[in-house]
Amino acid sequence: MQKTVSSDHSVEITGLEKRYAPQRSGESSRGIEDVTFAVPRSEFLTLLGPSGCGKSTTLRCLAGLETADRGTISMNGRPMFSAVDGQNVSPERRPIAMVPQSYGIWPHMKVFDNAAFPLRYGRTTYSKAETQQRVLAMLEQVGLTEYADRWSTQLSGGQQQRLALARALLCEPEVLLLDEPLSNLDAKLRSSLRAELRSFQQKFGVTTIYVTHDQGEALAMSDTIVVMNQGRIEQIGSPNDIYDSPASRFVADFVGSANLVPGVTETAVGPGARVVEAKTAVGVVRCERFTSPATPPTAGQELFVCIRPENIRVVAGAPESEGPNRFSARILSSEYLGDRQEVVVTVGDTPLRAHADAHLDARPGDEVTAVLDPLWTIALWS
Amino acid sequence: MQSGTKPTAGVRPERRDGVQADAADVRPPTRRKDRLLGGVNIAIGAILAYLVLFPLGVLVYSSFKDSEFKLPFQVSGFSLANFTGILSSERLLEVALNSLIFVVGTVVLALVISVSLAYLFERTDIPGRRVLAPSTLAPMAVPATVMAVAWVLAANPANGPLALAVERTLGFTVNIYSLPGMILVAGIFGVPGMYIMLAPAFARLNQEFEEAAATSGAGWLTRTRKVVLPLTMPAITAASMLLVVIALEEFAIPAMLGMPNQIYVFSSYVQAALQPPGGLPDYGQASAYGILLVLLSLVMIAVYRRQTREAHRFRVVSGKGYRATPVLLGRWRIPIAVLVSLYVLVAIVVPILTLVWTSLTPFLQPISLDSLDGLSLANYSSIFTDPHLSHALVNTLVISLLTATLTAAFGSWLALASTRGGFVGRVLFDLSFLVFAIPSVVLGMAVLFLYLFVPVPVYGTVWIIVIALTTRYIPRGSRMIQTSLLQLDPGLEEVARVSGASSVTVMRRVVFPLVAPAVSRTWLWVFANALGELPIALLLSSSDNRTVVVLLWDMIGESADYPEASALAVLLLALSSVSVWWVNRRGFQQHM
Repeated sequence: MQKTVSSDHSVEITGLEKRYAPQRSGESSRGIEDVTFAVPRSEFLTLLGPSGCGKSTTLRCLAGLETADRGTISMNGRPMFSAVDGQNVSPERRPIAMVPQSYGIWPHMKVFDNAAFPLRYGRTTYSKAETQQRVLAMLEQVGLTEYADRWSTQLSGGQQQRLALARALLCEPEVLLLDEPLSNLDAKLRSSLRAELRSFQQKFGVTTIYVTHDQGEALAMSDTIVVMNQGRIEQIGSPNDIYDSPASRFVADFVGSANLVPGVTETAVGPGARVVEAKTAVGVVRCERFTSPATPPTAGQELFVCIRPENIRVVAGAPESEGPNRFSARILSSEYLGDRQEVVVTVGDTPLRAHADAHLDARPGDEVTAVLDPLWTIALWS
Repeated sequence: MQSGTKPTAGVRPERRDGVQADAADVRPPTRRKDRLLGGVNIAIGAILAYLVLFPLGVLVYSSFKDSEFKLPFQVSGFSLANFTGILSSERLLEVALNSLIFVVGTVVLALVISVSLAYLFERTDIPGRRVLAPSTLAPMAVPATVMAVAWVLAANPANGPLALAVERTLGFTVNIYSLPGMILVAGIFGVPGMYIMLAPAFARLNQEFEEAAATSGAGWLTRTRKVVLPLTMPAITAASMLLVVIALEEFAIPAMLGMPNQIYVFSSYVQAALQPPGGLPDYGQASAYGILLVLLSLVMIAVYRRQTREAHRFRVVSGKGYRATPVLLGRWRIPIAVLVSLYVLVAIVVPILTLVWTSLTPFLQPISLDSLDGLSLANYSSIFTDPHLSHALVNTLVISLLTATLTAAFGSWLALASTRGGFVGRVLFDLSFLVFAIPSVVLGMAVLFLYLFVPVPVYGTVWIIVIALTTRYIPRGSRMIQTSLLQLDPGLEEVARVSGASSVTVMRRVVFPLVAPAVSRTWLWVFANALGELPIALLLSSSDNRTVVVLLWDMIGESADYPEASALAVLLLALSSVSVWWVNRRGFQQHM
């Protein structure tokens, strides 16, 4: 949650807060708290989190569709929202475009008219000929040329999504906002449109903020991921950072799958420490990957050891050679997936999920060795 | 302008076919059942024919009798004299023009008010919505006759507080006894029905459509003009078409406000021809006008059904329900709320208060603190002691109770036939929709002719009114019940049947308990509306079966005994409010 002040940033949000009155139905409130991040120009940033984490609220505050209670928003150095100054630029005056969750394709217009809307009634309007030319060029880009004269309701889900994107790009936005645009599509279409969306973004070089609850999408498309939970930012980082060095138990669990083993810190972690020894039910685990929290952890402080299944090696037989993080284990169950086996092993009473070699000959009950690669074993204090 | 629910029968839920198919799958096609079904359908058809086709037939028959002042069947031979007569008279042009102005004016006024209200209440952050929204719907509980009386009292040029206030502050005279006066009252009266049809359209309109326009850079005006209004247009046109039909048949308001200055629309002219204040009734002319009115209504209904059938073309499906962020009114918030409150005050509160005030005074006088002492319940006690009045009250209650019960019973039967009675049942149900096209003045006249013609001794009794009112409310009643039948998951019945219950048991134990709330709601709705229905009661009244509305009509029109009339009106209002409130206590529901 570093504060970056630089004119190189296309979007900057600081200390954004929005509270909702608790609802009678006991529905979790979608408020946000102390949301601060900055998006460099032309970058693709993803707000990732489970439903109700406040990612959509953040996006809607950016669009001006929702008014935050506290904080500031600026775009390209121009202030858009400031709670202190009572400043709030309305959505139609912000340099944005948005693709809403269910696309907001107007059913009473033809495809062409949907796309032409921003050029006819938007921030900058164009002559009829210019509009015609630009819209047709854009429809060509998204592969909807032959649908221009159709009613927009005749489009399939994927086509509607492309039309919504075309319309958004025709707004010539400085910031493109996408609110779970793939969530209404089936899985196959989703992955092909994912690639398409990313290539468009790169082609047009438009700063993009993308909201999703799908970690696969986030990892595949983003330059930067902001992981949110319960209205707060859990971690900001590149897809690599987020996956390999999750900053919290929530991130580790939400992005990808992870084995989380509770334990305590064996020895105090000094400022220059490279390794953490954690005492857990499994045994003493060596973690070479961690981010030291603000107050250095002391001996005995509770932590979680996090290791992803692909970083656990399962070897038949009892541990032979000595080495760190080698534990004697027993196979609990295994699933053959062709390219690998997903096995659950128990070390003592602790179950661990691991990806084993497809041809590992092990049946439930067999004794094996589980090797937790220390380089990829993470200590988490939050 | 009946309150409460509207016949949007054109919009038929798609599930009907599903229900039908499933029911057919489940039921083994035994011969006995087919015969039974056929018998039931024949019985329903016969009753419908008796209630609807007979009177209409007699009406058509009479219109071809050059009867003038004699009863139609006392004349032999047929002629087109009635039609040539009215077509060549200047009266027709005048009446047609008045009707046109009245209908268009009423619809436009109601449309402007109800669209604004629906937009304000459903899509903006207008303060005080929880009080204001139900207040604007209040006229629903007021029978048209009572509404007309209240406005006569509130806005008559001599001593109506509204007329006086306008004259004092704005300096011009308001004459409620005029076409603009009728339009004003009928327009306000039409607002709730329209609002109820429009509000869901505005509420359900997916927020994303407007947001997409906003983020595309379109301001409020463009958004509203290019996105919100076009998308709600099907609902707006459907509601307007319906109001056209309703305004065309509206009787109490144009009759009461138009009579003093002899301003006639079709419905009031038919009544005036049948029951002229002095002189003999002209049956021939009345029936010819009646036929004309039915034809006009039929055309409108046909247009309405066409409109609603195409409405689904762009049904605006709401996606995942993101709570609607209201359009922020900003600095207009307070002025707009004040304006709406003012509307509620002037259009609803003041007329009703004037009515209540007048009912407590010994003679008609302007509202003032000085006359506070003179207030008493004398008018009310005279209602209960005067045998005429108490007899009328009893008649009214008997008629409303009988009508509500008969309509609920036959309506349920018809609704059941439409969902479970196969093709014939559905056709019969659809045919009953035609009754919507018969204005109640015409229906009253047709029933009158029928029982003058056939030797069934109901003329002059409460039964003739009950028969006419039941006919009138059957299509609406059956549609209210059919809606709830269609909403029943067929699985509920299938499960009962699979558990081994016979079809009679399934009906008794599963279907009826689930439909019962709709039936009781229908009963109450019919009861409330039958209380205040004027034209039928008026045309069919004789010395023995007069109802409260008929007395009200006489008092306003002839004896000008306003305080006692007000007391009667307040009583009617109280009865009708309680039942309307009861119908809607779980929120306003849109049937059909």
